[in-house]
Amino acid sequence: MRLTRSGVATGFIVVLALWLGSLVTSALPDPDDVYDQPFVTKASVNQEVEIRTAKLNVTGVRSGPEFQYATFVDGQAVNGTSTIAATTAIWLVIDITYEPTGQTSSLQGLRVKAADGRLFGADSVTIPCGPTQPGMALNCAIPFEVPKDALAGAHLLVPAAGLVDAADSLADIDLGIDAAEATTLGAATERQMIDPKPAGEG
Amino acid sequence: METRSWWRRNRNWLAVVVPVVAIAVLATAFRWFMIYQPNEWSRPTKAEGSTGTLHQEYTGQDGNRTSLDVTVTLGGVSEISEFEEAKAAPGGTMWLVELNLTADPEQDLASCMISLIDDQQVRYEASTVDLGAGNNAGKVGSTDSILWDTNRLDCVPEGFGERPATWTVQAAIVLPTGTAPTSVEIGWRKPQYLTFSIPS
Repeated sequence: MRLTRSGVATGFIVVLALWLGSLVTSALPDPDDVYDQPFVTKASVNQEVEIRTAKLNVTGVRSGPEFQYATFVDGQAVNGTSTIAATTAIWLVIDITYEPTGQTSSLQGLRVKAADGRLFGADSVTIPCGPTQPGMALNCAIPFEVPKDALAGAHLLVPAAGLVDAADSLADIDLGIDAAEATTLGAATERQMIDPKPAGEG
Repeated sequence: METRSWWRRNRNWLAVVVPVVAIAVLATAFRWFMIYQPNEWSRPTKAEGSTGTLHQEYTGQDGNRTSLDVTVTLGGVSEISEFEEAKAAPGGTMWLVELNLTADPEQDLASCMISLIDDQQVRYEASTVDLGAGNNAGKVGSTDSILWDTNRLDCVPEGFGERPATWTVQAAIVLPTGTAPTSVEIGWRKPQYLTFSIPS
């Protein structure tokens, strides 16, 4: 077999292409690692963020050893609507404005993620936020029972359809809790009121 | 020495590339067709005028194939100030949908979805199904002042005994004030539903 100039060039190009291809594939994430990962949109407090099913805005973070969930009129809980829950840890209460887009829905499946990766849940069966209609925002407060050492650096995860580990849209909201703020939140002693209401009611 | 151009020499293989790419795209879209689409209200049957019939075949809880046949007549869609003592939340306007249904009394029609759709294809839903936990808490804030969804939506007449062959369903749905509905949808089991245009 005789080596020709074009044959050598072709061989060189093929080897070069294989080498470049291996560089690209080694730089890309493994398909198995990303196949079921959520599509994350990052935000912070008082920054509106849009996920596939809704627009969200975390407007505040507070805490206390107890919360009271009720319908309040003139600051007083309406008879028969009140639930009080206490904890030996701390209730981290997140105020959030929730407005569905596209279709009627409720805010479900939220998690607080601690800086070390621990996840803490809040069940919308006990503290509902919705359902509400597109274009009609709700001001909700969602309590999470967390140990005090989980406060600093905590994030709120809001999934589009109730599951934070689904391959779907997910808001990752930095709650802006530094070490000093975590100490203040952890030492709170006041009962927190939870009274979801339409954003139009203020 | 081959004198034909590369494109000409390989035209048969190039022609094969087109269907191969199409098959590859379809094969990778199985989630869309097998999971997402069947679990959304994705297959409309458009009513001619004010009356339409929904025919649907599905597998019941007993594992047997069964069918659903309902004839629906749109009685009307109108703004109302309140419904069963509930009023729209601030910024919202309540609309009443009236539908006249005809179906074999043996069919299971207890859980249904009724929606109003606006000109941007946004769905405003009253449902006895698929609103999750919130369905138990449709009324938030002042229980007398807000109707987020009709927890009280009855797709079939209340009471015991055999269901009549014809009955009327009312659903009150809140839309943001200034938004007018352009169509009505009713369905029992995803993905099929019946849709009516609202006469302007």
